[in-house]
Amino acid sequence: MHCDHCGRETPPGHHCAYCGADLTAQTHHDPRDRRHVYAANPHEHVYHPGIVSTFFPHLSPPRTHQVRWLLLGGTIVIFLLALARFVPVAIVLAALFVPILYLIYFYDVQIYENEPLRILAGSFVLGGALGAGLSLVSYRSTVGLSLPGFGPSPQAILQVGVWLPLLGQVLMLVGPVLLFLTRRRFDHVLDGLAFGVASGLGFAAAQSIVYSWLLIVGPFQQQGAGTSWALPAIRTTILVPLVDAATTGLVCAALWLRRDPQPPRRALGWLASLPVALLVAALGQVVPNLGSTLWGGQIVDLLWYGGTLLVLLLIVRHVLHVGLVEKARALGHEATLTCPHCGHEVPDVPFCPHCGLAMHATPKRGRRAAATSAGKEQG
Amino acid sequence: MRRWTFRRGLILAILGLSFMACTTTTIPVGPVVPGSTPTPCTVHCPPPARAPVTGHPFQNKRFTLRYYDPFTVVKHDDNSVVLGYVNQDTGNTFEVTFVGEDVPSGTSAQQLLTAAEKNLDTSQLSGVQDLGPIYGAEVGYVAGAGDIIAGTEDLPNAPSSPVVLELMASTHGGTGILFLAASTINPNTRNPGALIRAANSHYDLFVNSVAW
Repeated sequence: MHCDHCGRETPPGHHCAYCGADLTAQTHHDPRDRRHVYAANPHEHVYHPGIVSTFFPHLSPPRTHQVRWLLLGGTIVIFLLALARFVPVAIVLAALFVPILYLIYFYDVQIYENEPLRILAGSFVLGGALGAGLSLVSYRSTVGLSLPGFGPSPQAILQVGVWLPLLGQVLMLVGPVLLFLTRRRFDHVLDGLAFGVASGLGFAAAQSIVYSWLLIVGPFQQQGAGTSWALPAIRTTILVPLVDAATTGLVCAALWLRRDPQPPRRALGWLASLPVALLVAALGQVVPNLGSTLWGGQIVDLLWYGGTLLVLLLIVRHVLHVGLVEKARALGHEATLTCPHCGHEVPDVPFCPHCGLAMHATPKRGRRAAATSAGKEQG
Repeated sequence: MRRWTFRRGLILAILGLSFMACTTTTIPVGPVVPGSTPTPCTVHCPPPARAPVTGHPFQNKRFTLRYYDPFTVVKHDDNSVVLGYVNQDTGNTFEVTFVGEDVPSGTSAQQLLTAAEKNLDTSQLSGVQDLGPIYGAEVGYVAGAGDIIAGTEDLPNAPSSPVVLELMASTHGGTGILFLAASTINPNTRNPGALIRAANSHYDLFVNSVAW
C-alpha cells in the first residue's frame, strides 16, 4: 500500500506504519493528526480524559482495564474508610495508593530497562525525599494560616497558594532533570513522562504523610461527620497526586522531546514547547492551591483540583500524541511484535498498521524479548 | 561539751530535710497569690485583680478594649478588631476577634451566639464537634453565653492541624459583642493529637477590658 502522506510503501491496514496517518479517514481533518485515534491507546480520542491511558501509556488493554478498576475500587475503599472515620488508615492508604500502583506499573512494563535502582532513586525516591523535606521545613510556618472565622491572611495566600506550590514544582523536577543529564539513552517522550510522573507521585505521597502526621498518629477513629473526612480523602487519593504527576510529567515530556534524536516530521506546536509546558505546570500548581486558599471548602476544593486535573490531562495527552506521531521511529528490534491492542503481528515499524498504536507505547519487557529472540539488542 | 549521737544526728537530718521540703514547695506558690484578691466572696464580687501589666488601648466606633503583649492588632474597622499572636518557639497560632453589631431589642446572648455559630465558616474543617458551653461566659463583665468548637484544619498544601474555636457573646441594650478565639495545635507537644487552647487568663484580660 502506498501512503499519500509520507510517500512510503506501507503494509496493508488502516494506518500508515511509518507516519501513522489514518488511511481510511473520510473527514476534512488532516489524517496525519488522527485526533480520534490516540497514539498510545487507539481506542480513545486524543482529548478523552482517560487517566490510565495518559499516565500508564505502556499498558495493554487488559492491563488498562485492570488498573482502571483498581483505581476506582481503591478510591472507593479509601472513601468508605474515611467515611467511617478510620482516618489514620485512610490517610496512609490515600497517600500511598497511586504511587504504589505506579511502582507496579514501572515493574510490569520495565520502564527502567536494566537500571531499576538508579531510575527509581532518581524519580520516586528523590521526589519523595524532597517532598518530605519541603513539608517538614514549611510545616510550622503553614500551621494555622487560615483559621476558621478569620479567613486567610495575606501571608497564607502567598505562601500556601503561590510560592510553596511553585517551589514544590521545582523540587519535583530535580530528580528527572538529573536523569535527563546523566541517562542519555532514555531518550523517548514516554521515558520523560514516566520519570516526571514518578517524581510527582513520590513528592505528593511524602507531602501528604508529613502534613497529615498529627492525624496518622491520632485516634484510630476520629469524631465528627464522616463526610468531612471522606471528601478530603478523595483529594489526597486521586486529585493531588495526579495534579503533581501531570505537571511534572508534562514538563518532562516536553524536555524529553528535545532529547529524542528523531527529527520531527512537522512542527510539534507551541503546546509541546518547553516554556509553555513550564508555564502550564506553574499554573497547574498555583491555580488549585490559590483557589482553595481564597475560595475554599471541602467540595469546592474538589472542583478546583478536579478541574485543573482535567485541563492538565488533556494537555498532557495532546503533547504525548504529538510527540508519538511526529517523532515516530521504529523500535529497532528487527523482529515482529504482537500488537497488544489489536493482536496483529507487527513488523519493526513505528505504528501498528491495523489499529494505529505507536509501538513505542508497548511494554519494554515485550520489546526486549523480541529483540533477544531476533538476536539484536534494541537501541 | 555534748557529744553527737546517732539519734541526735537523725533528728537534725529530718528537721533539715523538712525545712528544705517546705521552702522548695512554697517558693513557686508564693508570688502567684495576689495579695489584694478579696476572697472569700459569695455575691456581688468585684473583678479579680489584674496582672500588673498595662496593655495597649484600642478603640473603634463600637467598643474599647485593652490588649496585651505578645498579641498585636492584625486588622480592624469600625465594628471589629482582630488580634493575633504566633508563638515562634512552638508554632502555635492564636487569633482573637471582637465584633460589635446592632441587635434587635430583646436579643439574648444565646441567640447572638447561635447566629454567630451558624455564620461561622467551618467548610475547611474536618471532624467538627461541639465541645460544650463555656460556663460563666461574659464580655466586659456583661454576662453572656459561650461555646467551644473543635475540628481539624483541612487546607490543601498545608498541615492538617487541630483547631479550637471559642465563642462568647453578650448583649447590652441594642448592641451585641461577639468574641471569637481560635488556636491551633502545638506540633511540638508530647501528645500532638491533643487539643491545645490558650490559657483562660490570656483571653480574660481582653474580654474583661471591653467596654461599650
